[in-house]
Amino acid sequence: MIGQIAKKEIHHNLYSIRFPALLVISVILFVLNGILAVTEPVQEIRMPRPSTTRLTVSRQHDALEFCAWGSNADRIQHATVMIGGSISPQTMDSPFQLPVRDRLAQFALPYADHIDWAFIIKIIFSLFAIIFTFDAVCWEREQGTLILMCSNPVSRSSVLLGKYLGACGTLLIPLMVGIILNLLVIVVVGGVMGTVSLQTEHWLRTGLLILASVLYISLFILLGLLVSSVAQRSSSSLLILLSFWVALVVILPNLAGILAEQTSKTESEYQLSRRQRQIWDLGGVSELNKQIDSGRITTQEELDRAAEELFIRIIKIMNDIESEHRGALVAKHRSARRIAMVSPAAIYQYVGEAIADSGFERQQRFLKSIRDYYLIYEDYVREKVGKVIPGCNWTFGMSRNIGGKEVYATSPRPEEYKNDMSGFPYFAEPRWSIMDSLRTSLHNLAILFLWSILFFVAAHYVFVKRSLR
Amino acid sequence: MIWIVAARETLDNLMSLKFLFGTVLCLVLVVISMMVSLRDYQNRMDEYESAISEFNEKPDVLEFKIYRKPEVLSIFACGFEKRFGNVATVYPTIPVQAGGFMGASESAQFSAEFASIDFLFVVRVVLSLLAIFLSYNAISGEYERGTLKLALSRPVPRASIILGKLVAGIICLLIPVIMSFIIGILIIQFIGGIAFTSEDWLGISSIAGVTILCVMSFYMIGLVVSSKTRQAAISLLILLLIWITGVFLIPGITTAVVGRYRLMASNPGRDITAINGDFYERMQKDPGPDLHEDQEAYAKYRVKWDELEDGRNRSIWNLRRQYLNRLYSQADLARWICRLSPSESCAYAAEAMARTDIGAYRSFMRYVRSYHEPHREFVKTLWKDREKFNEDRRKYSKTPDVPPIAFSASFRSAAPDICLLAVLNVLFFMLSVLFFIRYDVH
Repeated sequence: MIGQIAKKEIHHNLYSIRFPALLVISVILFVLNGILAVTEPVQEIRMPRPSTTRLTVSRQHDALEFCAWGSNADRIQHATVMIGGSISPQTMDSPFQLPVRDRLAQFALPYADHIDWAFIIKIIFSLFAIIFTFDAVCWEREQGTLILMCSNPVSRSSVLLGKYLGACGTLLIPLMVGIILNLLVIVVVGGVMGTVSLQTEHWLRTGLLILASVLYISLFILLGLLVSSVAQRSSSSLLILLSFWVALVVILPNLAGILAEQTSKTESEYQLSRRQRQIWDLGGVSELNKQIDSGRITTQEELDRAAEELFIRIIKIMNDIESEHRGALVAKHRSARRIAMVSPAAIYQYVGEAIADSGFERQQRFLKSIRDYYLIYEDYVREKVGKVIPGCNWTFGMSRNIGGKEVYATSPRPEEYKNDMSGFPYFAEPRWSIMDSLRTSLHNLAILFLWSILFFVAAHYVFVKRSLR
Repeated sequence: MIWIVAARETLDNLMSLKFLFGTVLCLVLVVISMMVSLRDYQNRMDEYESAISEFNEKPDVLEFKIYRKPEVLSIFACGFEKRFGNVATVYPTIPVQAGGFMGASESAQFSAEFASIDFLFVVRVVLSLLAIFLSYNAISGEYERGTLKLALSRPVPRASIILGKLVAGIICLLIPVIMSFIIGILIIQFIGGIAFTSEDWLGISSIAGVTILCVMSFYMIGLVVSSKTRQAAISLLILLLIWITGVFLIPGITTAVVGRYRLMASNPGRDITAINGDFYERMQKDPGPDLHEDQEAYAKYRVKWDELEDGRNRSIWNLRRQYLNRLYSQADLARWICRLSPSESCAYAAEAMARTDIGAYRSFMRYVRSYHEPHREFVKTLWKDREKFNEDRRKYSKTPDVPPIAFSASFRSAAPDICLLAVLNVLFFMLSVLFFIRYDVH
């Protein structure tokens, strides 16, 4: 009986104008996504030249970035590691400090969501899930067919379940058509052009993402059924649902950003640089002057030694301040993401990023693996050069007159090791296996599932209790 | 007769749940966004002032900084205000590099994941949707209920019915828009304690005008679709598709596609590095006479050197300019395509009027660059007196106040978008009249 109701629903939906509309949008967007994915230029990872002063490390290419693109800030491909512990992601996308990676050069283009799978499903399919179900119950109630249907020997639960399966079925057709065309473009064109090649692991991840998408879409179907059972008229049902949709999908995830901004304050870059400058001025130049004035430094050699010692100490403080600042920014961003999780759309986005191994957390893992790598790198440099003198942009430059002799204080510079550099520890980014991705997204999937169960139970309760007229 | 139709329609809308809900949502979001943007603006202003006083206390001609004042109206339309730099450094020896940040560039990078909920966001998402909700059943809904037949059975010209609906729409949409602006202005004046100048008032009222034009154009689209369909549900469905295309798909697809076209402009970074390498190599080969031994020979050498440096600066700047122009023209292209959507046009016009658009940034950079040449000449004259240079470099410079963009100029750059919106409104209204006159009520 459930099957029959589902079939009737599917037939009913297939003949309405909504179905071709969704099919067309889905095909256009998915094919566009495929074309964008295969025309994305491949950046090969070049091994950096072994160096004991500074090197650039690169992130591995993601084959699945077309599934969940993440924001551009999380797409930093390179970072500079300087001996001394300064690790700076190459973020500049301002027009004058020209970008390292071309894709960051979008500086003047409007901010917009990238057309990736996560976007298409998060926005378009959730909207259509509502459009397909807003009248599922109340329209039949208005027409009086609901009472007819329930006069048959069929339980109300199976009517509801049938309607759910019917809506799922109709939404899955455009989804699968779109995805198959998308993958076809990527496999065929990407294979010919040699830009994208998908391995078994990627196929498994894609399958997982499709399952998560079905869960997400069914959440909105159930929400639609719930409101449709509550509402008296189908037009008010649609209005209520659209308000819910705008709040859940558009407003709440974005509101999280400013809420987190209010709850956790971080220093601005200007304040940070001012604090650094103060430390530099007080602890560096004036400290040296003080030591000279007090007569502790009398010769050039002593000055050199004092300058070196001071320099190493200050740079360490600077690096600590900077990484503390970055840590605060990351913590703020994490709390924004946590707040955003009141919205299923944000949860789905995070699941997509975890499965595609992209986005903010991937970026943070990349940076963390560089920090881990740095320790090995420093050991290597210490072993080769003997000592670690931090490289940085700050320099002492002062001259003083001690006992009629001019002395100069200069910053020590890290040394480039000239001899054999074999055994250089290259950076290799550890990647997440599918199990890792699954493990982190498990609780998110569970939340999505709980939302669905909640909506289903509520819809069931309302549908059973409420009059059929 | 128009007024009777308008009054009835207005009352109908005002009493409806959708109007109440939309207005409340809009006002709540406006309050939140205003409070947040206000605080953000005050932080930026504090930093601007402390940065300027700090620079003027200890100025340096070798690292001469010019600061861009935060715009008050960025509270309404943030635009590119926080995305582009607001400090430019004029080094006498290299072309203007500008693009530094006061305020929070890195945190802006971080929060790129979350759209900034400024006033424009509320207009784009909430008010446009409210406009559609108010108009989707204007004609088709009455047809379904059968009231359209009744209304037309009386001696009323059809044009006046649709005109009445238009007036009703204007009244109903003006209420949330005007209330939002009043709340916004009250928050800025009383909580922020900021007094507006007359230019600011002009800017705010034009932003309000643009907002109304934008919201009205969505209302008109609703009228057009509604007078072409027979079922309210279908007209709402079509309108939702139009809305989602205008608000999400057009900007998204345009950015993605035009972003690809960008690849044709190649980054001149490598060429610039080559030019610099060449220059420093020549410098190393010919270190010149010692300053302390032969002052005259050194001065001659220095003149030659300055010329070389000028040449290098020119060629680097040419490369950069070409690349930047490509990027800007690309952004222009993207904006022109995005103008298919009224909400984007509205955003561009409001940003232009708030002086937070790309044009405002470019005029700031032009000002900074116009400073470069005279500044370099000035430093050369200081340079002549070697012994005193270290004192002089901290004596002679105070950072200039960047002249603000006049309202007339910002209005001029917003004019195409305003015209576009106005034309769209008229066009849609004429279409809806045309469709309604041919509407079959049976």
